[in-house]
Amino acid sequence: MPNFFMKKITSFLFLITVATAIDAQSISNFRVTYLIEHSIDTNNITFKRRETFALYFSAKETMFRSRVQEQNDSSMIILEKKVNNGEINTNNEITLPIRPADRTEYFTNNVSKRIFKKVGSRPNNYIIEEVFPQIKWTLIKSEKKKILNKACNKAEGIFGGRKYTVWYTTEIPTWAGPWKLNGLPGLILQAQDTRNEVMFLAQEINDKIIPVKIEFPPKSISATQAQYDRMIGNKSVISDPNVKVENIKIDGISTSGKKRNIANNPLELTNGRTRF
Amino acid sequence: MYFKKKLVVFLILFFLKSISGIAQGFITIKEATTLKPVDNCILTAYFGEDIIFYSITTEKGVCSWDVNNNEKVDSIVISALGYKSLLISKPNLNFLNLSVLLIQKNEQELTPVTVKSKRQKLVKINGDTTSYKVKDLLLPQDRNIEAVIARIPGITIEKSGQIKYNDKPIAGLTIDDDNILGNKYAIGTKNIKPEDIDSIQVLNNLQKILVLAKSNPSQAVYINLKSNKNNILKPIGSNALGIGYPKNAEANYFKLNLAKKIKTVTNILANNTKPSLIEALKPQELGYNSLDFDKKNLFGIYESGTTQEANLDNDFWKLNESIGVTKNLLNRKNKHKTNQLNVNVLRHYTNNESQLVNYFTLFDTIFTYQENNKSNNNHHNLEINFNNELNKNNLFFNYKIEANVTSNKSIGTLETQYNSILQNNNLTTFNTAISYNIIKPIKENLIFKHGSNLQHNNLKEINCYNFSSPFDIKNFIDSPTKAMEQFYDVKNYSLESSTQLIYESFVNINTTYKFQTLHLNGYTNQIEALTNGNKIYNPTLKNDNKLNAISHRLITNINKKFENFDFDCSFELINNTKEILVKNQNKLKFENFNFLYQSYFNYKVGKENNIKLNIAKRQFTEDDYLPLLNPVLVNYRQIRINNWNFPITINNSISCDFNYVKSLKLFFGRVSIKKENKSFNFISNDLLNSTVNQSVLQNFPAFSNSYSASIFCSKFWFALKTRFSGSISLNNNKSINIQNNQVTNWVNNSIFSQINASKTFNELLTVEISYNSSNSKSTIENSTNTFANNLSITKLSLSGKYSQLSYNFNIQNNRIEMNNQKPSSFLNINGDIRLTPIESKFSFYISCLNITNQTFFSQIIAQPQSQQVSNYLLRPFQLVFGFEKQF
Repeated sequence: MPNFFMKKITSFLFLITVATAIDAQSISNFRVTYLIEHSIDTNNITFKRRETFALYFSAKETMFRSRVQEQNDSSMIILEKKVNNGEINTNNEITLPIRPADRTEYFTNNVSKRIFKKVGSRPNNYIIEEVFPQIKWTLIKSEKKKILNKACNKAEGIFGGRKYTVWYTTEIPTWAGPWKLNGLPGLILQAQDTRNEVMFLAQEINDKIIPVKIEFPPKSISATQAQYDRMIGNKSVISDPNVKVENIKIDGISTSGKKRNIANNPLELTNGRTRF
Repeated sequence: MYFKKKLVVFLILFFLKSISGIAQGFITIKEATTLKPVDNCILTAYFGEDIIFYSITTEKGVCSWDVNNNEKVDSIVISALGYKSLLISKPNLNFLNLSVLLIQKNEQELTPVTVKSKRQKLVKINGDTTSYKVKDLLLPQDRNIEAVIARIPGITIEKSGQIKYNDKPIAGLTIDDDNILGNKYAIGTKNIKPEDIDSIQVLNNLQKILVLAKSNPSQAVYINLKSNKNNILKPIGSNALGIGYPKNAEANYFKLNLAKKIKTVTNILANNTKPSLIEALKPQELGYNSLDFDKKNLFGIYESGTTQEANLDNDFWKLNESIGVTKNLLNRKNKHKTNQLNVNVLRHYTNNESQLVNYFTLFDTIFTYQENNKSNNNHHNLEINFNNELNKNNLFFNYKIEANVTSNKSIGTLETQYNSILQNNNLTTFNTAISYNIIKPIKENLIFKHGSNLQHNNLKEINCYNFSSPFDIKNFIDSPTKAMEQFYDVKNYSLESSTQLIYESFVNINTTYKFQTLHLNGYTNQIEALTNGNKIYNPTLKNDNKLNAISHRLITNINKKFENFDFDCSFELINNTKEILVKNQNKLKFENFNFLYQSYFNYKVGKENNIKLNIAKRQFTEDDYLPLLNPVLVNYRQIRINNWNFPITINNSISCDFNYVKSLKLFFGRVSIKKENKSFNFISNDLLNSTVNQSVLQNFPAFSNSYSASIFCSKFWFALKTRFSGSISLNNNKSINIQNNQVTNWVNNSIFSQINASKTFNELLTVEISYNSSNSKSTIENSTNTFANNLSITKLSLSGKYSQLSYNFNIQNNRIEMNNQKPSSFLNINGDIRLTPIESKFSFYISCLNITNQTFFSQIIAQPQSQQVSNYLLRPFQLVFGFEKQF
């Protein structure tokens, strides 16, 4: 029992520190939508998983999450309210139209130099702190181009075992960027690794959205990566619920006649745990 | 000691750093008002467009740089979300080091809020059409649609009713796409109730709208009034009656049935006043008195707006006695109260037997007042006695006008015009006396325009007395709204405000007249002119009134050869005049034949039949533009060059005034007119075939009316033309407008037939229209040619995605007789097909002008007026067929 309480207290304290790490007052008027193309399977490098993520940022903080997940969350909130109000019978199966490829959300604070990710799904959200990326960018002076009608400059930097070529615009003066890529004197609108396995490309810049609070999801549970891995049974990437067992290719023979892709090429090669 | 050591160590480090070639620096960025440090602020150093280095401020607002000394930096930008960017040009990094920079918050940090108005859009733009809902522009005090139109951006409306769009007069005003008012659109705008109109459309591109204007279409702007379906305008109608032999007379009756008023226009014209009755009502059409130098039959420079004469043989002139009377009434329904009266009388008489006697009189009066319905004591009386006499034997001319205006109400506008031509007479004395007796004050405008042309006489004395009594100019000074203009060939006398009097005096003086004295007595001026050598004019103005400005303009007509001629005008002003405007700076150099003038002039150079150049110009004022029935306008712009056998270059400054010029006629010569950087040349050697290339003249809106010698003379004709227009509304937003003209012919040889049909619908349709003039055949005697009478147009099929189609057919059959005993017939077919997907309109226009005849076509002229045919636009084309028959 004491251990249990200690764990609870520790978690609680950690949550407090985590919560204060993100300024609840931070409000974003921007939403930049990125198309992310990721070759998740090294055996089939031409296959790219595509998903749309949204970046919200204020002067200090950013929030990066799946647009599909956003829409699902809002749908879930409505559904929960209806269930609580008895408007919907829970015996009925409730399905969401689209399943996001990744539910991970990233929260970055450039003042405290901390970065968190939210894993899991409602109602069990877990907040895990990660190492703040300190990317040493090399500015490429000669090359320039326009993305979404914004004049962009080029820079190169290494992060997560990949060398990224990024295009950033100083017209939006922020250090922010998609995912964990940040630290340039302007918003990063495009990032691509040299192996052409990962690409972030801005699709839309909307500076007139309804203001969005950059904050952790309510009732989030703080955890470490190890705790979270233990909780989900330390499953490998193969045990990702997105990948079904029967699709695994064994000794060149597939259980089904159709070849399925295996997520064995994470974004962060040096971390390995990060899935996308 | 400790600090000294620290300082020494710091300096050594700094020195080493400098030697190593690395520039390092820190700055702090704070918010300007609160002086709080700004975190995540980005400092970017540029050289050109390249970013040399950058730094992002910490929580304490500090950012640092570490840059090689070799790197050049020409600007630094400090920017942050929510703050205004700070640009530092040509920064000194060493100087910036350790400095504190302040940046300001961006004030526009609030969340954007979109406020949607519940009101409908004020303006709806569809292609070249801009629509305004009347109810959006309407104010309670608006009594007519003119007040509503005046609120449309870009539109100004003159007192006369002329509508200008972007300072240019509009080409016309239509009601439900029907140009029923022509140039008299002020009748509509001043009398149509705003409630009757649903929306006002400004049509910017004439080409896509109407077929009427054949020239300069790109600048034309039309205004279309979309009538309210619930309160649709009532039909209008017009009747035309013509009779003649050997003298022609035409009568036209035009009726516009408005919501609460009835507008009627009655026009009687006799003897070649104009070929078209409608044309005769256009106020700005300037006609010509052509010159026939071969026969030395001069009709000087004076022109009337209603005469349209060609230079035919002498027989023509025998018929040329024309009278026009116009009555313009605006009555309230069931009350029969006259609000406006317009009477124009034009008489032009030329007697060829008497050789040098030309007689031209014109009298025009407009009397307008505002009716007060609540009072039953309205009594208005306008009595004008017109008296002139020409006694050739005594060489004496007396002219007198008396006007008595009595009213128990004040008068809004009173305008009178009198013009006379007395040329080629042996007049020695010319006396005019014009008196007005106006009891009641005039609130708005009092305009007297009196003109005379006295060329080619032996005048020795001219006495003109105007404004006898009790007309006092002081009365006008009291009120800023009063204006007065007196115009005496060409003397213009205008008082536009209480502090300014514009006085213009144009006096034609021919040195061959050998004047002894010339007296022009006005109320506020006294001018004496003596022909004393080259010093022609030496007027003296006595200004007895408290006027701040006087503008005095002068015209001279000099018949003398000069190599160099400088005209000088001087006059004295007495009393309180503060400003004098003199615009008499005319220089003429005949060696090079270059003209440069900055004012009005009327020069006559050289001997007759050798070198002649008469250029007369009078600057219009706003009051001159009278869109209502006011066909009498005096000669104002003309350029005539006769027997000119060498190129002339005229550089003039009248280009801006060309908007008012309706015609340009050049005889027997080559002329080059240069206007700014645009120039055109054309040669006209034949009077009857003189044409003006429209495309060339597009830069000259003044020449929009192509001129040609008009032949309008018939021995006998009689025709009645009625026109009826109505509107029928259908369901499903479909509407059909039908205008039909029925012709009754009582006498042979001439009919007018006209059918206008237009359809408006929202989907593609195939339309069949057939027309068969059944009446014509039976009523025309001695007619065997039934070409036009039985012309049938069937099955006009249209294909294409056009949501709106309209047709306009005009079939005319008219007799034109040319010269003596040589009647000719003409069949004119004018077609215009316009397909405009933007406006979704299609219009087709055919007019046939035919004279019955037995012989067939002996001449066929096809004259396409424009080569430009695109997928959507076929420019107007014209086919002319001519044939002759000997009676």
